[in-house]
Amino acid sequence: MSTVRGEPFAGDAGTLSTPGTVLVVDDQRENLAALEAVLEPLGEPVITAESGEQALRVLLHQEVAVILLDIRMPGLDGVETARFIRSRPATRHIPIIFLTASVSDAEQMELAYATGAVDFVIKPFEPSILRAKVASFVSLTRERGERLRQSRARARAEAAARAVRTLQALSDAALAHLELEPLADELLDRACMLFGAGSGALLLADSARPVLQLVAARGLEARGDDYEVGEALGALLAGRRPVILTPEAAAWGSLAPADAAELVAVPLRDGGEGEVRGLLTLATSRRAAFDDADLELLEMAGGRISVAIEHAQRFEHQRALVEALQRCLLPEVLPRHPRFEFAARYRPGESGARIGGDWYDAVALDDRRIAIMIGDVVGHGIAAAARMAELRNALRAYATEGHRPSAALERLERLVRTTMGTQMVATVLFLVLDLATRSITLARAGHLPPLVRAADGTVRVLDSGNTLPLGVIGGAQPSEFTYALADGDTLLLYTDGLVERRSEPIDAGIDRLMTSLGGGPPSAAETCDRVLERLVGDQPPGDDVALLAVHVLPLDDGPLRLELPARPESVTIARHRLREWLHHEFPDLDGIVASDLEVAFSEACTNVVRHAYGPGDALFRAGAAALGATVELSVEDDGCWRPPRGGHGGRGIELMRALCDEVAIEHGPDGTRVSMRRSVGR
Amino acid sequence: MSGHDDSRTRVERLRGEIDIASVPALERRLMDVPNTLHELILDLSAVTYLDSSGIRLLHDLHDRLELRGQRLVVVSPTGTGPRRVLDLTGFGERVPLEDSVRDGCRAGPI
Repeated sequence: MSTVRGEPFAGDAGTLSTPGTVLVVDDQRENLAALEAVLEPLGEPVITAESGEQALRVLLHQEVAVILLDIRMPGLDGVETARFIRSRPATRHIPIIFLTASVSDAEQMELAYATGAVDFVIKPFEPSILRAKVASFVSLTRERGERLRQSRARARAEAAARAVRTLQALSDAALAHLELEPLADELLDRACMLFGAGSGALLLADSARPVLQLVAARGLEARGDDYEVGEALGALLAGRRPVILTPEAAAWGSLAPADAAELVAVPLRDGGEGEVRGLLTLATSRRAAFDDADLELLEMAGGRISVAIEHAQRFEHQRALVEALQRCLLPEVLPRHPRFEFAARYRPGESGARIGGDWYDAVALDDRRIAIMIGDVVGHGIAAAARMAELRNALRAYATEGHRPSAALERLERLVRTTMGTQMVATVLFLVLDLATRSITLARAGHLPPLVRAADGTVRVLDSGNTLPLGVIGGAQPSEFTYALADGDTLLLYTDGLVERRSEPIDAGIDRLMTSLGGGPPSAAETCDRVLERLVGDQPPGDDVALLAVHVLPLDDGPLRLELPARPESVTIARHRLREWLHHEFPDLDGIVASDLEVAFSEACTNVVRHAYGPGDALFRAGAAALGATVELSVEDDGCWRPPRGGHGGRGIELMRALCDEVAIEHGPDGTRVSMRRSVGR
Repeated sequence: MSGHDDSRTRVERLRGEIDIASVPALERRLMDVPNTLHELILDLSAVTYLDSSGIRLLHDLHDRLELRGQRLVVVSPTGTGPRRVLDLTGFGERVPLEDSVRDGCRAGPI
């Protein structure tokens, strides 16, 4: 436990009576003998010294209640001896009675009082008066000793309480779920408060390099994140105990803030043993701010901080691992299509290895169809993420082999049942989106139903037949459900983390989701963001959340306007958009006429891609407009080209002329505009 | 796409849309013809779109095979968009153009 610095009675606090030893100092033996005789009736021990020096030596190892001190002595005289006694903390309080031969020595008396004498006895003395004086000072000292013992016991109790408070504050359960950086900030703040330090820093050792990393700083300008571990820092780290540094110390410059006068450096080790994890520094602008009790407590505090940091590091490591695993398993990019917009979001659950087995996936099966999957493996952490990967890959394989959703889920169920036993429970939704007809065919195994928001804001639940989750015995054959998405529809798939709240039925969560979906914007990305904002907010969700939205871009009435990069794929996109636009504007259009227009449009676009620009992603514009029963197609670029003549290269323009009623190619200084007209005879 | 091979005659069946974006992959596939082959029948019945990029590929393929003493027959049914483009560009004047694979085989010199 702590010792209280500067206390005279370092002995056992339990002793009830303090011996009232009297120290008598006189250079003349006969005087000493006489004084001993006078004091003898008091029954207190008497120690004699023949000089000031001898008296000081006695005081080094002897507790004394009162000192009788002759003023006139050779060597150290009484006044000087008294000054020494007063200057030492251990003896400062001992009452000193000066013995002097003459009262006329007023100047010396004044000096003696100033030095700390409490009384005078003038030789020759009256024995009874001397005895009475000594007796009264002995009892005063004894009372003082008693008070000191009590206050020291109180101080000890207080120190113990403080230690308990301090250590509790540094291993508080509330810290347990903090990530490393907020934890380091909190620990440093608490340490500064507990030890009355104005500033401080928490530095952690790096396992790979000889540096300390500054993870938290208070009142200290962070001078670079890394501190090279040189000789001075190395010595601090190698030590077991906290060390008080003053500006003369070698390590001072790198650790202390500008206005500090004293700094304590605490090596962080688990329980004072084991490898050093880092260094805590606390600084104050006061001198002698940290005492032995502080140092002892700081050593224990260092152990606690070390344990807390170690937990956070281990935890962070595991969390990062699971998160990385999960991110690897989610598709990096979603399919792209001019008529559909895809967006997905994943939010890991609140801290802890609470990252679960939620996943989503979208795979283009061919030009016409995209497979979309979402699922949730029960459980958390690495094991759940790994099982999720197995399911995802199996389902991908079934999808690309061309199995229908119900058949794919049936196979998946069989796979789970035969290879994963009862270790796995998962919900899965699998749908195939037909890009041409805009219809979805879906099957579910225990997964929550998708929602569809129409362009007018109405929301419906696609509550198709559902079966039990995979891995739950007794699941029926999954049934299939087909739904035709309309222009402007937004389809939302999600996992239960989005809607499930403890203490409420899941329908309440789905209602909440429907409300937030209804008032929201149509685009896929905005839908995901709005739903997350409304249902999850800024805090990590209780369980992890995955969601995926598909928005069918509405076809506007009026002309088609496209701006596309001059790349081969753009020709395909432009043609498909024209096909849809023609179908929308002229539903009964003859197939050959439509195909002629597509070819003419593609040829004009192909010319731009082939001839108008050098390498790079310059843009070109393509459009179509209905002028009564005539379609006008236009393709414009900002490049510079001439129609190639003859041979294979001129075939495109030949075709445009053959397929349209009018073709105009205008070359200007800023680019070329091709416009073509064709009657569609409606 | 699928192929049929009786070692002297190979039938290559193409699908989907042939335009500037899909030509490079097709080209890699079609230019790889064994020396022993006499005749390549390219069946475009399942092709839903064809434009000058595709015509150019067919001409290149024909020229190449001709240099090697091999024969190209293109099959594209009358009344389809691709056939219309082939007809408009006079493709049939240089390369045998048939309505069906059966016609293509019968038209062979052997």
